[in-house]
Amino acid sequence: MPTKIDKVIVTNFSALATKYSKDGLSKIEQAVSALIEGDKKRGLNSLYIAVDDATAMKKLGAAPVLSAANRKQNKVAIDEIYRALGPDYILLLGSVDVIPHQDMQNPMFSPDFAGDPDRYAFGDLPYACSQPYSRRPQEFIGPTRVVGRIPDLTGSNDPAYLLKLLKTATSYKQSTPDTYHAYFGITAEVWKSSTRQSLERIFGNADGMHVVPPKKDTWAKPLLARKALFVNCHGNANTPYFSGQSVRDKNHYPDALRASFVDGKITAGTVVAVECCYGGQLYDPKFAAGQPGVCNVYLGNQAYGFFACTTIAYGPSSGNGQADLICQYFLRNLLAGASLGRASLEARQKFARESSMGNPVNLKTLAQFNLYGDPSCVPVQTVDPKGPPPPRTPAKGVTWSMVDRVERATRRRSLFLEGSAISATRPTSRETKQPLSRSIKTLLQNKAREFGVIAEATKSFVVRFPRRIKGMPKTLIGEKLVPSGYHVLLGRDKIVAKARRPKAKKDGKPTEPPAFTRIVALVAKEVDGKVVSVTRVYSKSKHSAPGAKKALS
Amino acid sequence: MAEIKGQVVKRMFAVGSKSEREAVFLVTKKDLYLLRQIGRNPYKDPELEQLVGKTIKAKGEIDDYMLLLSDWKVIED
Repeated sequence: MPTKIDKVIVTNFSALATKYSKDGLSKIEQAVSALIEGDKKRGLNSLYIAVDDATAMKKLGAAPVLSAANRKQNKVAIDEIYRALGPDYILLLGSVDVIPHQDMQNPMFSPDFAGDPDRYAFGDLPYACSQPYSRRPQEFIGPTRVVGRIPDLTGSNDPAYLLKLLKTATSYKQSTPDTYHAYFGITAEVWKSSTRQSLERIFGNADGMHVVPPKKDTWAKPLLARKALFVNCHGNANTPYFSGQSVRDKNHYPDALRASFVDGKITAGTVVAVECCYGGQLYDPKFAAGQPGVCNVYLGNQAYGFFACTTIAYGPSSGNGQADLICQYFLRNLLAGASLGRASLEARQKFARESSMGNPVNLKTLAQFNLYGDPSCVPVQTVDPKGPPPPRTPAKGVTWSMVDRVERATRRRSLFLEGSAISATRPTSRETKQPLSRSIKTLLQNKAREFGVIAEATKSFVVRFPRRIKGMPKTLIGEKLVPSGYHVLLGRDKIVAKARRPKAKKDGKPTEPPAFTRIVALVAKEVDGKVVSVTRVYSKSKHSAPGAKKALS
Repeated sequence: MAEIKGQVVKRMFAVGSKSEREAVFLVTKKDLYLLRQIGRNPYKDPELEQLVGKTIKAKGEIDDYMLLLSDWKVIED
């Protein structure tokens, strides 16, 4: 049988050369060779290839990347590598200044900073998709490839960090499922209801949930040593910590997890899912007084995988949605014995299949969550080596690695078909500048009034349908049943603070409880010209109500 | 390093997301920047809060929609 390439390790030599000395590059080369050797022992044929290596790319019938920062060239190069070799794993080696994230247009972007200020949702999702280069996330709702990234430090000239991560990937060891079920969960107090639900869905209980405040970020070592971490807190751009938030004091954002504090206290093999805004932003540490972000620090402490997003994230304060879901899916797949890369691909597919891709908030979520870590690493050992022999054994003359390769290929074909089916059948949306119809505007205004929401801005999206599937009854895709658009109203929600209801006055009459506001997005689903439902995506924090209040436009 | 003149204001940021909060911005004739000081708490920076309502000449690095302040001078109260 021909030797199949199971895994490609993709980098850019010239980009690495601008960061590191000759000696540094030589050490990186040696560390990659050790990783390839380690992969071989696990039955994986790995190939190291640079997208700017004209000779190597030519052998694959591919054009080399001429400018490391050129996103289109990088996307085309990785597509061509995948087409030529069909690897089961694509490992991007280096940070965003070696192989850039793709800059997908953020459908929630609002030039008015009251809305979403991210012009782009940065991510590696397009590298996981067969669709050609585009900046529209709508083109990438059906990922088919297993992709992960081992980043070096953005802007760094010291290869030590990257060498450490390569060593972790080379020498990783599996652990039993029990090891990963004893988890550490951190949540902002305002989101504890949502986090509880997430943890119950992932681990079967919320016993490991820690709420900030009242808890503080000076976590005991045994907690930090747990090998699964789930965080639902605030995060910021270029910021090396995540923050909690108090229910009672809306302006109290205590630190919940600091990169500098956890450094040196993490157990090798830890896996992490982080919902926080910018939780997976690979920022240049110079923007944070030299302190790398939480993601970089975990990976530098031999965490095997870190699943997180690059910009502002969304999710409800109670119940689950967006960031909650994609993080849940990732960890659940991992606990079931998937590789980091497959856990990530299956999480993306499940999210794209089960959440409306017409909803711009969901689109942004899918676009910006990424896996950091070696995609071929399988942290959880599902077969007990001391237990009875597995039901399947290799035939005479066939190696275990061949058996695994055949099984993996079956899974990859299935995942490819699944991603292709999602692309072909799921509706997406595009923003429209057309003014809202009078009836929808009135309904949204009424809903806003009913929910006590003071409207600030709206955005509208038209749903774009894929081709009709042969055999599907017309009634299933009739215009009276299928959403034709989404309208997002961003505003403030005036609510009553029951938890702090003051005592009655001396005259016996109860005083009015204090009111405060929290920010909400109302997402209205339009079917056949009418709004059929309005979903409140609650803000993850609360604010007092100063500032200009614009009328709903 | 950029040098930008503008008025400091406080307003809502990233409404409806996990990042929404009241934040301090620099408004120039053309642009709007979220103001941050490197190494300071992005949620509460009393130094920046004191600048609200004032016109300043700011020095710092622009990172997308943020101005990472390294220095400033109040030119108008």
